[in-house]
Amino acid sequence: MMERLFMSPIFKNKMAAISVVVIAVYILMALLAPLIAPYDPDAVDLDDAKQSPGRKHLFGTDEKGRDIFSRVIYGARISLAIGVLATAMALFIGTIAGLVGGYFGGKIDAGIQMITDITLAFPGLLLAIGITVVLSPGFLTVLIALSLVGWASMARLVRGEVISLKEREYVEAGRAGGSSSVKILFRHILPNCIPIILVAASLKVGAFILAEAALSFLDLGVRPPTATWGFMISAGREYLKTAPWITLFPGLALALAVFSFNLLGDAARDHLDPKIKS
Amino acid sequence: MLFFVVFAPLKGVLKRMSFVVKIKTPNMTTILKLDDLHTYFHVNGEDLKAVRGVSFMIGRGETLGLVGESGCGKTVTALSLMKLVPPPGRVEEGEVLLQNRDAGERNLLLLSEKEMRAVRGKEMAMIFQEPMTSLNPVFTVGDQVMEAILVHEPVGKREARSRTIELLRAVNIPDPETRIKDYPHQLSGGQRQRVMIAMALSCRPEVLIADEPTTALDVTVQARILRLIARLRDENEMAVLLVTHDLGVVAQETDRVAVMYLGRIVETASTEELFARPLHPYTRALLESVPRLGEDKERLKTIRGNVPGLSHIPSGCSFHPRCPIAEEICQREEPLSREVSSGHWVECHLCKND
Repeated sequence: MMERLFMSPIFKNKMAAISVVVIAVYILMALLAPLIAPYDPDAVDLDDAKQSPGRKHLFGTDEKGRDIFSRVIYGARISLAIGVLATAMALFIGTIAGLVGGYFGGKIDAGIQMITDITLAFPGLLLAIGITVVLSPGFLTVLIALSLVGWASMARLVRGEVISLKEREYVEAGRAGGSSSVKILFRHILPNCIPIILVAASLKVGAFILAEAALSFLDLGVRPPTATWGFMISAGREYLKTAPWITLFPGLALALAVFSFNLLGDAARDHLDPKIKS
Repeated sequence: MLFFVVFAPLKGVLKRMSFVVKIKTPNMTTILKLDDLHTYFHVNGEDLKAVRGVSFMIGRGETLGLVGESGCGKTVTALSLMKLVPPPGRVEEGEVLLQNRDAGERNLLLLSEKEMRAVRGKEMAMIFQEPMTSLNPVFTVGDQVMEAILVHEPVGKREARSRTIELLRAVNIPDPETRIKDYPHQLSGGQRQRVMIAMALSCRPEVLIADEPTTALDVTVQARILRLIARLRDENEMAVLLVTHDLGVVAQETDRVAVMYLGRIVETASTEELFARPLHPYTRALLESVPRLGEDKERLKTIRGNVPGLSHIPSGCSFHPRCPIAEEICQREEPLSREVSSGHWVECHLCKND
């Protein structure tokens, strides 16, 4: 089983293989956080503040004496959860909008296109900030804000694919065989969209993790004291000269996560997109 | 205008008469009858008349060939029968009468989309030109044939599976028990077209519309597929509408032929009659443009000019600008369809049965 998994084509690409391993480590870290973390991430110990990395605190401690290693591990929970859930929601809204618009065309499509264009006209992060300001900041708000920003590009992507797929002969053959529109959409068109949806999704996770960190950095994300990478970076930047590790480690964790998801997305695209594969 | 007033009723009478005669000529029961079908495409406020009054009938166990150049409206006619004309196209006028096993004769154009879905695939099935792309690449062929059965018939998966194997055997796919697990890319073009035929036949339709079924296949495979269609037609007593531009296929595979030019049927006759005594100048020109074996010719004979665009359909007889024998009347008046000998109809002012 494991052997087959590691023989699968994605592992032929070394960078992709590394990214899969790194992502797997992140996921394990997030799931097993209470077991791995040596300290309570929220335990304040002012006597122990701003300790440099060492044997006692692997990544050092922050200005309130909290263990940074533990906080980075707990931060992975928020980052991954938001990255994955926001992607799932954006994917869900975007896929349905793209399928319906692309397939039925006409006024329905024009309406959906208009909403998509309006959404895309805003700089993504600005729109997300706007939404979080209107709703009160928190986990759910970040999730809603990011999915409301991210669905539009998904919708556009899926719509384009559907428009090309619906002219395929097997779609016409399906209709000539008496299948209903719903059946054709879910049997013939959606399954053939899955490759591009997967690629877009894996790239989106990285982008959403970054966006979540940005929102947290601006204090618009999940409320402190919950450990998030963005807020840790933000809180640590006052001590950049005296205690750089406070920002360094969450920053590294963030960069590595985003980088891995982007690598995975690129590898998936190379593998699934026949145009590139040649 | 005066002309129209005088001739319009006459045209109607003639048309009605034509049915009486047409039904009598072949001694078989009519299954599908098209009457004065018009299909237009509305583009930029203009009506592009792709099909302008097509009438024909097909009997049980009969193959009717529908021939003509690209763009003459063959495929649009076929799609109109299924009510699958893509927008902005619309069937504007006419009747498509299909004999139903239980409900008797019904005009398909009056059926709702839901009723029509029950007709498609079950009473009237269609196979397409491109076998390479006619199957969904993400499902196995067995899955797709089974699906075609399950859409229409209240049978279980197991029954559908065994019928799928039977169908694939009937279309000469070797070792169907294992082949049903194959994906389309694992099959050759000919095999894929066989699978398409199996899907089309899955619910034993009364009418099979084959839109250039062999154009994309090489010649030996083509012959086998055509023979397969003919065998299945005889076994199931289907009516087959064979849409093609290949006169060789027409000569071999059809009982009767309808020749189409610019959205109208200009000549209908039994296949032997048409090849022996083509009357319409267009039919003659088509037949003359086919190269013959043993003929020592530098250039093939062509029909002068091009097919006019649908937005510039010539007045009178639409063939007159390209017709070698056109006279003044051809420009002025639309010819009516006349029966020159039993079952041989031609739409031309000038040709006589000689």
